Amino acid sequence: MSGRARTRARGRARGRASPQPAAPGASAAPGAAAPGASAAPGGATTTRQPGQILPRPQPLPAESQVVEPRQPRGAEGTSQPSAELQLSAGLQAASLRGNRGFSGVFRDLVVNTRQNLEHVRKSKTGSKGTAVRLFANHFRVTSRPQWVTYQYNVDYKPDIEDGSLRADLLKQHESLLGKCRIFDGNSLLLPRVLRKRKTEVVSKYKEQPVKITIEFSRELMPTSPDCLRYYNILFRKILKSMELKQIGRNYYNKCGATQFLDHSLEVWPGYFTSILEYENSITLCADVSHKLLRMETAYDVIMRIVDTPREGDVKQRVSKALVGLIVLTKHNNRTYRVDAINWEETPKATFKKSDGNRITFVDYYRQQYDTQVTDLTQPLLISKGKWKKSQQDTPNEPVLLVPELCSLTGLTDAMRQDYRVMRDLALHMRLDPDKRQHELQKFMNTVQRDKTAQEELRLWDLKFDTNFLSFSGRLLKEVRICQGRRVFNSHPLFAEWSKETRKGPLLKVKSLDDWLMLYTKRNYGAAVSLMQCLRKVTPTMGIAMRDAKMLEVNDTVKSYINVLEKHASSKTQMVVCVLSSDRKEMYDGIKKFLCVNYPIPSQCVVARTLDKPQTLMTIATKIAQQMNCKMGGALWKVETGLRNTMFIGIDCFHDIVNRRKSIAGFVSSVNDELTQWFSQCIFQESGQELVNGLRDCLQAALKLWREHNPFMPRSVIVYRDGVGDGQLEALIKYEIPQISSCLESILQTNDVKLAVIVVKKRINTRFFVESEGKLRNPRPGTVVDVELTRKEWYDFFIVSQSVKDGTVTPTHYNVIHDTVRLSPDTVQGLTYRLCHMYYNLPGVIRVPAPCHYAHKLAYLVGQSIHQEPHHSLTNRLFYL
Amino acid sequence: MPNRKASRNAYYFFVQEKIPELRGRGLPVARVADAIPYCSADWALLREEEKEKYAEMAREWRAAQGKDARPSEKQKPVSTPLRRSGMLVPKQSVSPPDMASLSLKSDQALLGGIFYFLNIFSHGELPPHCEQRFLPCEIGCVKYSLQEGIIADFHSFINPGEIPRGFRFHCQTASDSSHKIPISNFEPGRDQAVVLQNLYRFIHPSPGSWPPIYCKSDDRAKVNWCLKHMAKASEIRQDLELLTVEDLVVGIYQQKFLKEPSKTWVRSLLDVAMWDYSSNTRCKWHEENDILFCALAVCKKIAYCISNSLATLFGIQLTVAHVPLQDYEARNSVTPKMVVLDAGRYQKLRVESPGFSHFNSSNQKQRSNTPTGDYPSGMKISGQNSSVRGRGITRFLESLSSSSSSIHQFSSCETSLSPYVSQKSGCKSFSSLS
Repeated sequence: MSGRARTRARGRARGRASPQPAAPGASAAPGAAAPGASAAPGGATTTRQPGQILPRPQPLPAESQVVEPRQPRGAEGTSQPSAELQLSAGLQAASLRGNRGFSGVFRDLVVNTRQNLEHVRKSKTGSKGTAVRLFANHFRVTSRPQWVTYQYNVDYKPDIEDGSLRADLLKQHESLLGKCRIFDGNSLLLPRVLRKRKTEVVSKYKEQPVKITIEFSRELMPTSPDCLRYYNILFRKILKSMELKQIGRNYYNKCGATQFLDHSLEVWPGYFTSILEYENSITLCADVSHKLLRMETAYDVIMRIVDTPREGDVKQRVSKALVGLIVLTKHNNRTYRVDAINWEETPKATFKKSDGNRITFVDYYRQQYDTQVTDLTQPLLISKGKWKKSQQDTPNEPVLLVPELCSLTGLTDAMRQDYRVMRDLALHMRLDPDKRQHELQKFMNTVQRDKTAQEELRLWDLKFDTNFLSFSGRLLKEVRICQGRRVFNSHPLFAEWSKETRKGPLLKVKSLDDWLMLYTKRNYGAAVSLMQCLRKVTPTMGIAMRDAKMLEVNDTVKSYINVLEKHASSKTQMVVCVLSSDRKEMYDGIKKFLCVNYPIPSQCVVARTLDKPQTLMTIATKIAQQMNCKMGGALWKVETGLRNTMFIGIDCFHDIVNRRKSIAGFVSSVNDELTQWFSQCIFQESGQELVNGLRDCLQAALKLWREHNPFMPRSVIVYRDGVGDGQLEALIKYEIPQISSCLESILQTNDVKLAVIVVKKRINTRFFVESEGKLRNPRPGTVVDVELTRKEWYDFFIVSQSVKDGTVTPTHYNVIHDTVRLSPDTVQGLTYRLCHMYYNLPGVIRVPAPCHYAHKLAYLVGQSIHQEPHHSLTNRLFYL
Repeated sequence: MPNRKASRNAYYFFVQEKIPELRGRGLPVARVADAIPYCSADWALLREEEKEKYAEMAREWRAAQGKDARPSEKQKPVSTPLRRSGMLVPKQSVSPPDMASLSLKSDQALLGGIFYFLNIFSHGELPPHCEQRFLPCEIGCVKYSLQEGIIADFHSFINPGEIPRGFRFHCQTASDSSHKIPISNFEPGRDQAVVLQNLYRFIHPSPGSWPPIYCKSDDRAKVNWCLKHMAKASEIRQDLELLTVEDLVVGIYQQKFLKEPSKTWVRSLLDVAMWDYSSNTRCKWHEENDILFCALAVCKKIAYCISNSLATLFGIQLTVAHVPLQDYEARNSVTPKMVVLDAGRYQKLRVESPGFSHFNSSNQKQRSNTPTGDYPSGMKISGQNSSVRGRGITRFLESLSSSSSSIHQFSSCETSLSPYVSQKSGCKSFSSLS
């Protein structure tokens, strides 16, 4: 499984139409734990109409969609806050696009992009490089049910919201249903047919009868992709039975927690799992995850503040300390954001339970969770839940929480700056390949040994291999870097060439004749030493540098801008600002001025980084290189092997905190050497991922290309970052036709050669190599195009970067459109080479350079300048 | 606008030619506009050469239009938001006796016309289901005329009142990401009723009629809501009408050129970051705390934008009241070679970093050309009143590089020039140097 969880998270933000279930109780509910009798989960009951045509009783092939008017469960707006969330969310996103004909959770994966790519229909594996034996954190499913299964929809009356309660109520009828069943809260999968199409049973919940209707929906063939969904649910059930607690999407082991008493921190180990179908087989992908908690409750914080007498209102100080923090209530393992503090009420206050009775918080927690609240005078915390644009009309009942029961999560800024904390945590949480394998093997062994787990698996005839999946990958040759007359290889292990690049002149230098350096009075020393160092390092690089105009400013944005207005002229090539702190407004103000109002490439550096004399030379070198790039110079180049090809990178930036407009960065190469890039950004509605205004960008990009080249590009290769699997279809439907039609009209040809490659960074798959009996990270340049790729896709993985500690994350590439007819070897080699072209690092990065440039551009514009940068900067790497 | 002459393009003439044919087919086409939908397919089929014929017709038409553009200017002025509100011609503005033409007369009225720009900041926006949608915390208002520029301004912080329960975090983040006004216990925050009263006193309506008050269209809902909310709290009846700046700009433009400006032009006119950090634009608090977002600054920047792009069209000499001119002047008159160095600091630095002696000496010559006499003039205008200043860095660098040969001479001259260095540190540097 690859990055789906996050992808889904993105999808859900927009896709989920139904509001979070309002917490039970009219005014207050602790921990949203009580089963709610409030509004029905969106659509689950409303989509049903009486007198629907019922499916015929005899078995039918699953794919033929027996029930037309009714979707199988899971496709509806379920409010299960469980494992189903990510699945249903993806589905909803899909169903919102109005494609109701299909069914199945894995519809997004059904997007078969390979079938249109004639040249790779037979084989998509490359052959270049030397073969290496690889392992991955996947376990093959060795056996799975080979029989037809039957899917039923389950309804409750009165409606029950709590997922586990729903399951419990159903369990009362085990004699009817049998032990062997998978229930996701809405739909039930059974290995056999029930006698009646529609069975009605009555369960008892707190002496109240609850009517459960179990109705046949359809049957699933063992090959149906929907089956995988149920296997996943089953596996999660097993994890739960193994005393693992679900927080968010992953399962954590409370008992195996490691405590850091010095820092009052606690780390829970946990696992991520998913069962999915890959190239040749179905595998279980498992990865280690950690949950970081503070050994401190909100109550402790309040008391500490109350006990330290200082001037200022106590309430004020408490809300300053707590508001905005994320807390975890251990009794139900849920997280909440503290939105405010309720000083008027205490745990003695009452709230209305779902059954209508009023109960005090103290009693509630005693009855429900056997937890005693000790301080009866503490205030309560208010959590509001999310206020989303799509559901702004529905008031969300705030949830009241007792501070004593709320553990704080996350790191404080103070902790983050404490290197001892960070070191200890990194040591514990950043697992190297060997440790990771050890942990996962341990996990799989526990699953194998656990009795209940084995029983469940046996019923469904599910078996997993206990060893890492092993297959063969290829190691590509090191890439040759040309820097002027000098040619060298990137380091085969560390994937970098910082030493080599420092030794001689850069590929294309720009002289620094007229430039400014701004500093505050306090940072005078830093500015002068930077200047000195620059003077020392520039001659070797071949940069002719005159001294900068040194200008002193006050530490305000206004002062910087006034001085710039006074001293910057059209001839000014560069502005260097030595900042006294990393204050965002300062940086934003200066960048905005120098990108929008007064377009001059600029370089900001925080004075603190110039403090250490031992690193100063390195930093000065980097600054000199960066300045050279920003002024239009070039550091090195890599032979791509393609002529007359334009490379484009696209990435999006979403400002989640402020909900401002989303920004798409568009970067395209201007010459064959890939040393110059055109950039433009597109502003779009918040959260929008697909880019609309591509036409303008392409037009401008091609115009600039034509100015630098005698011919128009023969082919265009687009690297597209920031789309999830669920959006592939939309990408194919909208964005690609937009690009190709635009190219057609500009290039005046019907035969545009275009390739679009989707780049995915956040994936859970990891690769390992074995050497000297231990697992290690694969070498940079390792390519995988077998086994863990997908049948329907022309995809591959590349490990391009090298990491010092921890496990390296491969990047997944998916060629979704290709009329250039790139062979697997070409596209893999090309992509790997492009990872060498990022000028901010003399080394290989995780993604192709155009992608990262686009990311940097979108990030700068979205975070700092919020406006279209001045057009005169479009052919510079000013955003580096 | 109905009177706007739609530009006729090649397609227009193509359609015109097609109309008889369409009528022949029994289609109800009275005008070109009606016929447009029927012709697009045919147009697409035309070859470039064929289209050229119509393009030529369009060019001829445009040329003809250009000729009689003058007389059309004399047409009766169109109704604009300005006129509608009846505020365009304030009573106090006296038209000069010299009334050569109609347009000049209306120009004069327009120039003297007084507008108010108003903005109110809130601690974020609360969701629609809440009763309270905004929490007003800062108000800025500017009295402006094209002729005079900014005549007066009004600014006040507002006590936002109790934050609705559960929205503290929301308000806090909204505030943090923009104006950064503390959400509670903010000292200068005044009572809402008082602020409103002061605002009314500032606007000072003549009995029965309010002057036009404008804000940007994006802010209009917010400002309106806040005004109503404050009025409710203070029980003052308010009947001022809030208009949008965009309409005002369109109105003025139409008044002058008798045609409507493009929407993008208006938006780009108002969306200017040029004066973000100009002096005398933000309120004192925001200026001191170096925060960009300020309600007063928003109003003033509207005034600057209008002055800069519209007032100039009327040939008005821009003054300090129109745009932050002092910054312009300073920019032009400063000697570009100015460099600043504090000699005292230099001494300390010298002690700290002995690595100074390997200076690249190739640049010496150049630097020594820099006249040291430059800086005093620059200093004065730049308006920075640092007491310790007075040596250019060029001079410093120059003396440094020469110092390797004659340390003694250099350091003695250095101490004599910098009275701010305490005796002690001076001595220290001596010892380290010699």
